[in-house]
Amino acid sequence: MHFNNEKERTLALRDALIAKGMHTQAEVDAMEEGFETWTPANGAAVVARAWCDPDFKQRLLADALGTANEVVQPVPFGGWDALALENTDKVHNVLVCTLCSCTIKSLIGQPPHWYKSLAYRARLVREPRAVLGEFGLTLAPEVEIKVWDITAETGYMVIPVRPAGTEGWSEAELASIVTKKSLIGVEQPDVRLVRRDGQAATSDVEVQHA
Amino acid sequence: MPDTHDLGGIAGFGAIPHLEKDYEYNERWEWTLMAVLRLGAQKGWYRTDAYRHALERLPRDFYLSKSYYDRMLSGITNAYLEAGIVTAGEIEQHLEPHIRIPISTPRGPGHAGAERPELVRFQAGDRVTVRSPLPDGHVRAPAYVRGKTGTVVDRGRHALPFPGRVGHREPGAAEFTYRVEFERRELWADALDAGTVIVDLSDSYLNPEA
Repeated sequence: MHFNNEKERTLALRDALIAKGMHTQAEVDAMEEGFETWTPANGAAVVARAWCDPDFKQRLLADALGTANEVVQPVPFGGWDALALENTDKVHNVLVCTLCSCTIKSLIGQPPHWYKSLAYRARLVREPRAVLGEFGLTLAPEVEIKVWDITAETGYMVIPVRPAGTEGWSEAELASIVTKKSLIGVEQPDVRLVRRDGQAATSDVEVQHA
Repeated sequence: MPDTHDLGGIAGFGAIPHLEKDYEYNERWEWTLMAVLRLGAQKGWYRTDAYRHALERLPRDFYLSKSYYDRMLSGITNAYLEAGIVTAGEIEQHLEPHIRIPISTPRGPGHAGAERPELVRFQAGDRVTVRSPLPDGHVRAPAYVRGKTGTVVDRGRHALPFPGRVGHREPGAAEFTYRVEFERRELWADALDAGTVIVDLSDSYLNPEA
């Protein structure tokens, strides 16, 4: 048996379903095009607004998907709900799905390779400081780490601590430093990555190919 | 031994791989695969839990050695086969003759929840103990919390069909889930880090503190 034919078997499944009239090519194409809008730029825009607008942040903490729609238009994510988790100088939140690799894709984008790895799924709940250290994130010993294991149909997005030195930045500038990793909680936004208003997007927030 | 997919806290996986890979896909067919998954669920042919369970009962060696997309594809293919939407032969007509599709063996029957639809049993601050042992089959309570006691943080907003039923393609009563916070050193006495893990658990997985 040959099992290393993921692409061929994916296209065969699609083609068999279309040949049988169960799906149309147009339906498949429309779904794929919808995924183009599911990027971490959505979550980044939401974080930037939350950093600037305390009322928005309070609404976001109560209802992440509904409130996110005030800023971006993520594709409705099935029957899922989402919570926003606020990092502070006392509590650091970080996300995992130990049983599979769930995320709120419309806000965070597709789960990254490392998030889907067996090692991340196994280790984060038990030894978060060691795992975060591999990402280059060292937290002060007094910071409590809360690991959120996504086991039911509620996903999460992290609101990172707003970095020092970002006073007076526009929302677009703030959003430009919020990465997929910081929305998951494995890094802090880096002020050096700022994209000033009018500059082209960096690869961090674009849909990017290998 | 926990089920293969139930990885939280398991030793032996080493460093987190592919730390740089945050992008949305490697090749476009990965999105074709996700489109096929979502279309089938949207049309009501299988629930997410049935897809998850089809993936979970793949052979252990296959699960641990194959790529994320190979596991996912195999789960999706089996979800379609078990829903009677397409046959293995119909898919293989679109493949080179030497390529076969992996088939995971159905396990079951499912196990009932408490059949207390939408009853609110717990409030924030309540102490709860996760049932242990839990029945065989599709279970969305990770092994590392079974028998452990934690504190309810809050309740999910939506009642969801009980995974132990709908994961086996059986009708299941809707239950609320509760986010339960566990002290890491209650889960693993030798954990290097203090802090907590929060897990989202269906009502039927929980009892009042033992």
